[in-house]
Amino acid sequence: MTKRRPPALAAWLLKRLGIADANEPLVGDLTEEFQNGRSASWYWRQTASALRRYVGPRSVSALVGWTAQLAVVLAMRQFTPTSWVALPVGAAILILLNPALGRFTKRAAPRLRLPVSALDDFSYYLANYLLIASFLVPMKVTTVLLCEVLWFIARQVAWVFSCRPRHIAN
Amino acid sequence: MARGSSLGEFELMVLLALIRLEDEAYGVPIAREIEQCAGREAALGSVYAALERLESKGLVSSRLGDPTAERGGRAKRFFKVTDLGLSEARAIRRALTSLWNGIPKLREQMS
Repeated sequence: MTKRRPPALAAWLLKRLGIADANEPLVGDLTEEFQNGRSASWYWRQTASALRRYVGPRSVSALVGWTAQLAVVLAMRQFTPTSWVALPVGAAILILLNPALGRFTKRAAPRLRLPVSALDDFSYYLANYLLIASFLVPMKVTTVLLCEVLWFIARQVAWVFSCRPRHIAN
Repeated sequence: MARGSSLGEFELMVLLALIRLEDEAYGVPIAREIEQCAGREAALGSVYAALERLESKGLVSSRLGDPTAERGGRAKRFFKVTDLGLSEARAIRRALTSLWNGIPKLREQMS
């Protein structure tokens, strides 16, 4: 069976606005139905409905998360004094890596029998490491680890403020 | 009816669809069941929102399945009705049937 690609912008919105994280099975259902012959307009209607349902609390959560992460980046500068140019360089690396990381996690998740969100977290930390490396200054391993811990804490802040559970207990 | 667990129209439809499907079901078949029975498109986002509310009331339970390639590596979330959900559905049916029976004019128009 030839794989159809869902409308790119709709899929991008689902991912970037946090719906894919907030409700991974919902996005999987949309993909499955689209592969089974649903139209692009159907996909768009479903995306709009999902955005209405999930984007409010997720937006607040994402905003808080990004603010916390920005605070961590600023704190990191205390450990690794460097030029402000390093920040946009690091951000550019993250943006360039994102599509490749997304493809990697989608392919690898079924083989590893893990939710996509778990691998997304892994790739996220990998990207963070590259961001730290882009500061282009020699750093001790302990400094990198400390930064990773701070990133991890900042990442969790988003979930504290999220209104919906991320993982479903049996 | 369980105290403090009043259901909206769409929540009741989702609960009944889940009971009709009998085994564990995920979003797609539940939405299809509602479409077939109610004749209206059910947005998956609305179905999941209703299921989450039902789960918070203890009327359904869920578990995550394995991720599959045809779903873009994303897992299914399987739902099933709890005993409390079944008794709630029965109580609603009794209450609604009793109310409908008390409206003779409407009953004649429907038959």
